[in-house]
Amino acid sequence: MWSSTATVVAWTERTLGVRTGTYPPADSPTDFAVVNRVGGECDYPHDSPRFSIQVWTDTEAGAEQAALALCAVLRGIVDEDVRINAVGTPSVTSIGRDENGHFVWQLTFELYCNIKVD
Amino acid sequence: MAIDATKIIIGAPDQSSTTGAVNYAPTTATLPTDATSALQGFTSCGYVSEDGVTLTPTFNTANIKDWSKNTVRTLLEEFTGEVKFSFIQTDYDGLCAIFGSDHVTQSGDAITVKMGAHMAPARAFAFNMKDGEAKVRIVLPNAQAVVDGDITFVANQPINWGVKLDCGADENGESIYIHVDEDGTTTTTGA
Repeated sequence: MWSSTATVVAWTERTLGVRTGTYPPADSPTDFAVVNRVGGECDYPHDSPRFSIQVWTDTEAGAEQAALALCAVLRGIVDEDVRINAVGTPSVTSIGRDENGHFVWQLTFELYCNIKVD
Repeated sequence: MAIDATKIIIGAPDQSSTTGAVNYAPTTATLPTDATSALQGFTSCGYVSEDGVTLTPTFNTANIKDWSKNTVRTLLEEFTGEVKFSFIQTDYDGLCAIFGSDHVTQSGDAITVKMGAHMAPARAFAFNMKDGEAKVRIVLPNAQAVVDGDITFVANQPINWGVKLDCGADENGESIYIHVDEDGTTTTTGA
């Protein structure tokens, strides 16, 4: 079955050019992104997942710039797969700094998908 | 027909990062006869507001009653079709759709709209929608565009260019075509 999460992970990795997964990598590189589904209704065949993308970098400005760069091109994610019907307006938040020195910015948004299984 | 949730279709815009879901052409253009074929000779417009597109077909009828006041026949007196939406993208092609290219000028990045007691010419419009692999296309063969409502300019909202399309009939007497293509099965409805 198609995974909207995998699609968002692949899109983020390609767009930012940094390692992206659904949890922070163990070796804690300087720059990476984490994608999680944080909610959203599923009323088959329609699924409206709400995603968060957290961008981790070693500078506050870098994290902000990366988050805003994703926002700028987010509308294009509908071209990633025919099952993505539309994308909502992203919300952007500064999360703070972790003990390893990463600054984290996050955007959240909804995708509107048709996950019909043939 | 059995119930089938997969046939519940939503009306998301079928647009890409380069092509919008609202398109217009001269009424002489070759109109699409299905939901999937490429549009020929149409101009693509930009983003439409989140309220989407509203199609309002109105069948005005008159009831004929007999001596006992029961309705024995219903006559169609008038059919009108109307489509409403708002552009939130301000650009030359969208403004020409509303006001007509005779009343919109562009020089580089500068655009001027001239509003007065005149309208854009009647045009054909096509609205492309999708839901996964399903496609829906509304085609208006002979539509008259006018500005719909106030155009408001506020600090934290996009300028909404409200559009109302009055749907005139084509040479076949049809004002609105709705094409649905769900996994290759094409259904066409004319009104």
